[in-house]
Amino acid sequence: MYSLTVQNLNVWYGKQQALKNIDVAFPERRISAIIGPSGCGKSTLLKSFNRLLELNEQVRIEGRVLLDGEDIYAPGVDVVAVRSRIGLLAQKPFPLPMSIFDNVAYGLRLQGRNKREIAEVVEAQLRAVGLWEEVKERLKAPATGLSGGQQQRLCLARTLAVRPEILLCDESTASLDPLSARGIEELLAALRGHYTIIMVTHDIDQARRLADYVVFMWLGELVEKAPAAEFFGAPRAELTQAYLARRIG
Amino acid sequence: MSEHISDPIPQASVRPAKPLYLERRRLEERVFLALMRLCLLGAAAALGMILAVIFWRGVGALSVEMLTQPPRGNFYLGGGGGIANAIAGSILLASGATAAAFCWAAPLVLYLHAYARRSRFAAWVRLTLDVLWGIPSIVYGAFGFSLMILLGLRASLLAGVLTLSLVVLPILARTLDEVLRMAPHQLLETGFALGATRAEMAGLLLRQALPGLFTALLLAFGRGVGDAASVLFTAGYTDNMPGGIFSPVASLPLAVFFQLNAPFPAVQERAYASALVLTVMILVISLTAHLSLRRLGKHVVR
Repeated sequence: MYSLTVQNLNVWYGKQQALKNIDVAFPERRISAIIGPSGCGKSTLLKSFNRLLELNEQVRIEGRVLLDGEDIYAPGVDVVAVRSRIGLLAQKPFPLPMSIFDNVAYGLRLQGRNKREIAEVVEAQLRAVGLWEEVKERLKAPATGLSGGQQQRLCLARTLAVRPEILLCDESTASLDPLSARGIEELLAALRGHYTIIMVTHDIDQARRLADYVVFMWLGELVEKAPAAEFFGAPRAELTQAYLARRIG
Repeated sequence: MSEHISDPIPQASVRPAKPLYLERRRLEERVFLALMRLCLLGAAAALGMILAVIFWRGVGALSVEMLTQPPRGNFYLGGGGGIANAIAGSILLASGATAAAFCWAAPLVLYLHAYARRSRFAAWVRLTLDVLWGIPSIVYGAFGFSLMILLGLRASLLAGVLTLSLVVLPILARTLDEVLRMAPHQLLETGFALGATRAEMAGLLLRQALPGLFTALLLAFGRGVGDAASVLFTAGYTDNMPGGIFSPVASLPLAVFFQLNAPFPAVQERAYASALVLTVMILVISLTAHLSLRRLGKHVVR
């Protein structure tokens, strides 16, 4: 089963083409990793999945991205509805300018949930990311007071609180110290089987540790896609072999 | 041990003479540093001198009566009373204008940031605001005056507030615009990724901009309190305390102007006292604006 399918996707920033004819399907409730060197288009690809790419006025998108068989770029599609089905964990932890509690509650309030329900979900999510014990005494404190690792876990709780079907991770451990990065990795591993996770990473070892399915990008083109065992065990393309051997990139 | 210390000559001879270009660059730095310090001193001195002059010449006329009483009949001939009418009038004018301009500027700027973004339309709006900023306030005064006649209004608090709000609007809007421009791009991404609509995004932006917003309001108020030309025809002048939005009100800058025009030294001294009151008001507002930035910023993401 595939939850997200990309068909013939092309993206331009102004005159420069950033993605060329991308075709790929991401398996449901598994962790997929998009790897490749900087500037290969992996973040662009990821941001095309929840239509965040459109925030850039210069961008032009052609092709289809199917979420449960429906094209999210079709005319008449409610962007807000699409985005609430697809969560994003950014590269740098970014708490909203409000308290710890309000950060997790933000998306729930947008959905118009009632107070009791919000309080329950906030606690459950903070527990799920292992932050509850650390912050339960200071839920009203500004979220900016947390450490980087704590902030990223808070962001994960905030993203998961709105119950998305798909979780996009844009190099979500890259800005963290090794210990915090490990913590986030473990959380993501635990989410396997519950969410379809698509992560962008330039860390081959991280992809090896986490991914069930791997997509390798090079200069805006998709070079190779395969289940992780196959991808790392017997890469077919010469570029992939070179990249995995760290001869290029 | 001791030979080493007592004999610096070999060491000095080993080290080459300082290259000439290094000397020149050092000199250059010193000259420009001195120039910069001079400019800084000049600016500080100008402020200091203004404060000193109005303090020196005005403090003698300052009294409780001056601050709490409206002028009596022979005030401009050196008689009793004070400038309470102008103080109250100015506060009403400036706060009314700031509030009116805010109701106008905030939606405008939030629209620019949540919807128009970097479109050509947004660029035009910004250019328009910059042009409006540059228009002298006497022009606003003349415009307000003709608008007043068109609407059948007399010189009044309402007309003054409306005209002054036009003066303040570009200041408030552009300051707010700059504050929001500093909001990190990730704020937009995060909000949208969580399923916020553009209108809800505007709310989030406002939250991020809260301290800056307060500063912008105080700046606008400070400008409004000090503006004379726009209220000259529109708010009029009166020796009475403000008595409703349809009656004329006095203002501090005009109080300074009228008293300074009087031929009596005692009244001129009061002009300086009024100027002192006005300046202290603006100083307090500016300082509050500065200090509040840190206080209100506890949730702000930097």
